[in-house]
Formats: sequence, structure tokens, C-alpha cells
Amino acid sequence: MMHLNAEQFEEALLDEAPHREHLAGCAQCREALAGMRALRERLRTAYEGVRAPAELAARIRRQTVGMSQQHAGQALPLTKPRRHAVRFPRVWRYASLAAAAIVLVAAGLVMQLWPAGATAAQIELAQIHQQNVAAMAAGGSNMLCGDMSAMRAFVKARTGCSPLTPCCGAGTNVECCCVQKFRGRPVGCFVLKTPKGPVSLVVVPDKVDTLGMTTSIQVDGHAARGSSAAGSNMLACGVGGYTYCAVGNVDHSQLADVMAQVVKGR
Amino acid sequence: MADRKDFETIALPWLDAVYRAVAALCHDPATAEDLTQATFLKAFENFKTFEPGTSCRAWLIRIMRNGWIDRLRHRQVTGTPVELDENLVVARQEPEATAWSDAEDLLENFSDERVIAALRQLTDDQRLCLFLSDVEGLGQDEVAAIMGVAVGTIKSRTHRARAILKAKLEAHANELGLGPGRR
Repeated sequence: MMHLNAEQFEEALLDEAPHREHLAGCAQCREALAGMRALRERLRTAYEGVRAPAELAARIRRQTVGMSQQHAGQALPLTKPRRHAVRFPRVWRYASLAAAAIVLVAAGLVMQLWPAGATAAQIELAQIHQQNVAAMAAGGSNMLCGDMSAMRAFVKARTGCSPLTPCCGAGTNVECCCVQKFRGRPVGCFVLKTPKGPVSLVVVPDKVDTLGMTTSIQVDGHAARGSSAAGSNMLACGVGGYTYCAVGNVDHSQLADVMAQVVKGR
Repeated sequence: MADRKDFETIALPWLDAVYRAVAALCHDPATAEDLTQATFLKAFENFKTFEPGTSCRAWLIRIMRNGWIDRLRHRQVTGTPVELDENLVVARQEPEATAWSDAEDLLENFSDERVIAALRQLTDDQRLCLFLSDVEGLGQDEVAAIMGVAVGTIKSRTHRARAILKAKLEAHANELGLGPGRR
């Protein structure tokens, strides 16, 4: 007797009707089908208790709000652009074409060196930096500024973490610190003033590999990873059980300088 | 940019389903959370491309699977070992679709963790096929659309996955002394 083949078993699992006649007369196929049904049911019940962490939905909501606001800011310019009927000399047009080509090549190189791969973690880090910059501009009510040892104590009291802090100098200073949420947990942040602009140093308990940063960079003999997301560059380096994430609207070499100062601070 | 309210009404209710599918693919809770979050942010960015009236869950799981494949490719490039695709495995021992007497009683002896651990021993494609068909109850055409293969391929792949999972659980039952003839 011919038995049901793989496809027919899969069909019979969904709807027995087309194979009812065969199943009625074939105990082996009937039993095999019953076993498959039981396995399907067991799989279903095994996953019944698997649920997304409660905080995840709220985090996604927060991020979509941030993305909408960012997009609205870009989409609605404050002033309407004027139309110019100016005709540029031909040499200028060639020059602008050449400049555009250079920019495209440079962008390609940058993409090659710093692949996007912006994971949710990187977007969160970029948002933390944006919030820090905004808080600093608004007077930093949630921030503690000033004495370094007080800042360390502040972070330790709220996160339980005793992070390294950068050695300052050469125009770089630790201005303030605060506690932010990363992946649903409180993490310590230091905001540094550097010659190129503010940099947030976010100290997270996660391993560097889980942050999805793709570009390998050496910082004073330590392996670091770089990436770009949501308009910010970032560099992550694991030191002494924590991962230090330098995030800012400055280039990666500037972030590497900040990271080198953290490493020196060991 | 998509309407956030629409996104929250249509897509966000599928958070658990997407998380479960990610959990079926990867074993690490932090990665599962990260990939789920990345899937929803990507879905939000591209929500305008979602066709109303079609299955939002299938659309989200397709985005998630693409994200997972990107991560595997990245791991391949960076030298982290990745699981072999079922098609690359030569001369795999294929369990036959044999009868399984008292399957229901036998399966009750396994904890949820044991069943999930056995499922994890399948290849990514087999695991996702079986998960989407049996756990999420998606139609074969929906699974085929997510996996980007023909419905016939899904049928044979799911069947093979089921047979391998059964063989793994049977082996475990024998280890526990619960196999046929030992009870």
C-alpha cells in the first residue's frame, strides 16, 4: 500500500478531507498523523509562555516618538526656500559637478569604512546623546555638574556601577553626568566638552558584540568598535567589565581620543 | 514617516509574536530583544510600504528574518561561525515519517524548555518554517512569502523539520528511559 508522502501529510495536518479515504484504511498513516498533531500542539504550548519583555513595547513607542519628531523637524523647514533664477557660469557648473562626484566617492568610502548597520541599541545610544545635549542646553536640571568625585558617587549610587572616567586635558573636560535608560536599565553617562563638540560617554553593562557595531578600531591596544546611527558617530570599547560608548556628532578619530583617555584612566 | 498611531494600532500588537519568532531563531535573550526592537523600528520607518488588508504579522516577521540574515552575514564576514544551511549539509540522516504511538502522552513528559531546546537543534530555515506553521499557525502560502520560496518547498521543509524534531525528542525520551517498550 502506498502511504502519504511529505506534502500530503502537511496537507492532511491542515485539512484531512482530501486524504480521509486513505487515512481510514491505513493505520500507519493515521498514527503518524496523530503523532504530528501531538507534536504541533506541544510546540504551541511550549511557546505559550514566551512573551516580549514588558518594557520593550514602551521603549519602541518612545523611539518611534523620537523618530517622528526628528522627521518632522527635517520635513518642515522654518522658512520656505526661495527660488533663484540665477544662471551660473559654465565653469561653475562643471566645478559643482566635480564637487558632487567627490562627495559621492567620499560618501562611498565613509560607508565602506563605517557601515551603517544601525541596530536599535545604536539608535538608543544616539538618542541618549541627543537628550544629553538638549539637557545641557536647557540648563541640565537632571544633570550633576562639577566635581569629578561627586559625579562618580552620583553614578555609583544610581546604577551600582563604578566606571572609569577619562583623563582630562588638551581641551577635553568632563562637564556633567546623568543617568539615562539603555535597554530598559539605568546607565551612567558623562558628558564631555571636547574641542570639536560635546561627546557623551555612556557606560553600559552589555558586551561590545551585542551593540552591532561593525568597524574594528584599536585604541591604545584595546579593541574598539565603531558605527554611526541616527546622525551620531559612536565608538564602543570594553574595559574592566563595562562597555564604554563614546557618542557624538564628531568624527571617529575624536571619539577614539576620548576613548584613549578612558583607557588611560584605568 | 508613518502615522505613529496607525503603527501602534496595527503593528505593535504583534510584538509578542515577533519576539517569539526571534526567540525561536536565536538563543540569547539580549539579541532577541535587540532584533525585535530593530525589526519594529525598521517597520516603522517603512510602514508606508505595508499594504493594508495583508497580514501585518507576516510582514513584520519577513522584516525580522531579513534582519537576522543580515546579522548572520555580518558574523560570517567577521569570522564568527554560523549554522550551516540545510542545503549545504551533505548526506544528512533523514528520519522517516514513522508512526509514533502514544505521542501525546510521551510529549507531556518533556518540559517546555526541552521542547524548545530540541527545536533549536534544527537549521534556521527548518526551525522558522516549523515555528511559523505550528506555533504561529500561519498558512503555508504566508510562510512561503516570508521565506521567499515556493509553497511546495515549505511543505517538504516543514515535514522534514517535524521528522527531525520528533527524532530528537525520541532520542531524549530514550535517554530518560521513556522510549517505546521501556515504560
